Amino acid sequence: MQAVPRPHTGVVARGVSGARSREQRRDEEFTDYLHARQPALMRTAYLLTGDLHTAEDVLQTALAKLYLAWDKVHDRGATDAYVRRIMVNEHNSLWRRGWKRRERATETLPDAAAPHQHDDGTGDALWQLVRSLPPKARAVVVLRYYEQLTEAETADVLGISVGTVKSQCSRALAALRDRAPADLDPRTPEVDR
Amino acid sequence: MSKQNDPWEDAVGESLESRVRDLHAAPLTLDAVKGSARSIRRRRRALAAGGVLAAAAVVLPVAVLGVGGFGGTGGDDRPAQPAASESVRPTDGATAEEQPRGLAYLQGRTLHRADGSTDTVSERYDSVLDLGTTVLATTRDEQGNLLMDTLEDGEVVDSQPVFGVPVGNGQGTALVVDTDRVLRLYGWSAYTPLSESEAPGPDERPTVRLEPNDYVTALGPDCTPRSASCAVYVNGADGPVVLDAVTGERTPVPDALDVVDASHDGMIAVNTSYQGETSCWAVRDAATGAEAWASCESSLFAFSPDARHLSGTHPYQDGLGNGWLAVIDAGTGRETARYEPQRGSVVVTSAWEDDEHLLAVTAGDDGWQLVRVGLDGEGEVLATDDAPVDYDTFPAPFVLDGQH
Repeated sequence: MQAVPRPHTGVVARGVSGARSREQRRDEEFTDYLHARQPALMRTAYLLTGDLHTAEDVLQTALAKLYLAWDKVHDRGATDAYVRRIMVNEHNSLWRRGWKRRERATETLPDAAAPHQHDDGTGDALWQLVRSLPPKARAVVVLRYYEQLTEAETADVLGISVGTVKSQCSRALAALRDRAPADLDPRTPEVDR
Repeated sequence: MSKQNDPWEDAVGESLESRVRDLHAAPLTLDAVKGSARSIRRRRRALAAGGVLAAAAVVLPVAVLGVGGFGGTGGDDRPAQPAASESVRPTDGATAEEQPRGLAYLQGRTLHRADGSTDTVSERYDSVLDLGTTVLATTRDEQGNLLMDTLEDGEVVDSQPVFGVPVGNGQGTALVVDTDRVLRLYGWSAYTPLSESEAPGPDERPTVRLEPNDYVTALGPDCTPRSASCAVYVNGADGPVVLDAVTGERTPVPDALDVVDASHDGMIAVNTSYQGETSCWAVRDAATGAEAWASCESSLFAFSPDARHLSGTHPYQDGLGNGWLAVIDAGTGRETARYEPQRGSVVVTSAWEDDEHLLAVTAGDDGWQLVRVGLDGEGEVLATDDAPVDYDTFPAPFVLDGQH
């Protein structure tokens, strides 16, 4: 058996202390980001997934992956886009695995994300329609019409072409129009709804 | 929220806005995120090797196939390696003939064999394991189920669902776990599962299964049709164990988080601790547990075929790839060389091509590259690929035989 060699103290010291400083710096920056952006990202996660528990899980996974990539995401302005992409992918993945379908069977809608007090029911009804969309279509709707991203920005987040964004938006809205009862049609004058 | 032109777009936007207007939850703490990050990192390490850690590099070099071990010794105690030759046709029961150097890898649907020939295969496989006459390759379907194809000359001769990616040991044997979690050994005498062959040995071999939460991390060198035992390193619910694929006996590996590789000469590389973003590792005698050395300077990936070196990287492993690929003296634990890809790129996976070279897959600003790295740390770009670099899913266009 070979004797355990003495470690290179100089290298070890430099390496270990350098790693700790880097970790501390990363943690401080990341904490600032969490404080500033988590509520907004949580709202997006909720709209993507439809329930708070899944939203929290998806957001936690996305933030964990962001943490792992923190030193490599050079453009801090693109951080939110990076997180949104991971959330969309993670939710799609959960959906494909049937996880969400099993979870939905036992969930109850949380009070924290309830129809706004001034909603006359139309908003809630539309929300239910959006929730009925497949995950990919719902992601396009949320990014375009809630996040107000441009088609190009949406394409970048989803990793698809602008043409695909256009067609998916078009299909999603068509699906909503088809499923919505007449009284929810925003083109119908309010007095007639 | 601004108005869009289409009333439906406006209505949907307002509906979504009103749904979350009063949602201000921020439930996640830094600690919770870091905990998830650690889990993801471990999972990525496993997936990057095709579902198992290490073992792989010992599989490599088609060159090092052989039943019955190596013949002759050089000036030291290490077994001599077979010299390079043109053909790869191991015969059952024979000692290792002269074998070509090199490593099989898949780029898209082109399988580059160790002897320089290529085969066009039908799938963009996620893992490949070259056993010489056959290649075991896996893909996942949309539900995440794993399917293993057995290829001969690029043609699929058998397909079966499996539980885990096959693990080899560089001596012509692969471990396959079927969907009942039963361990099956595949030899390179065609693709007949050894456990179903008429191999000499105990008359009755028990069915050995993985337990729930087990995943295979390395395959020992003594797994041949004539072996009375076969060490399979498994990470289970209670930590790493040695599972004998012949007898089913489970033996805990003490003072370890993971066994990442097993060399042909009876050593194992072990992860002993994680401390925040640093990690500590050791090389030990597999039979006795005696420690050859321990270090927190590098994390370890795999032994070279001749077990003189280990590949590794910095102790603070990242999930998306590593800043450099280290060559480490297996006898002392000292880093002897380092390959650092160009700024903006990371090393995604690697595997030993032969005793003196690693193959590394890098990704970054220069796109995807396949790089041959020497023991001096010098890199030579062998191939490039214009597949997009996606830091979330990392669909690498190069799949190395036994990658890490």
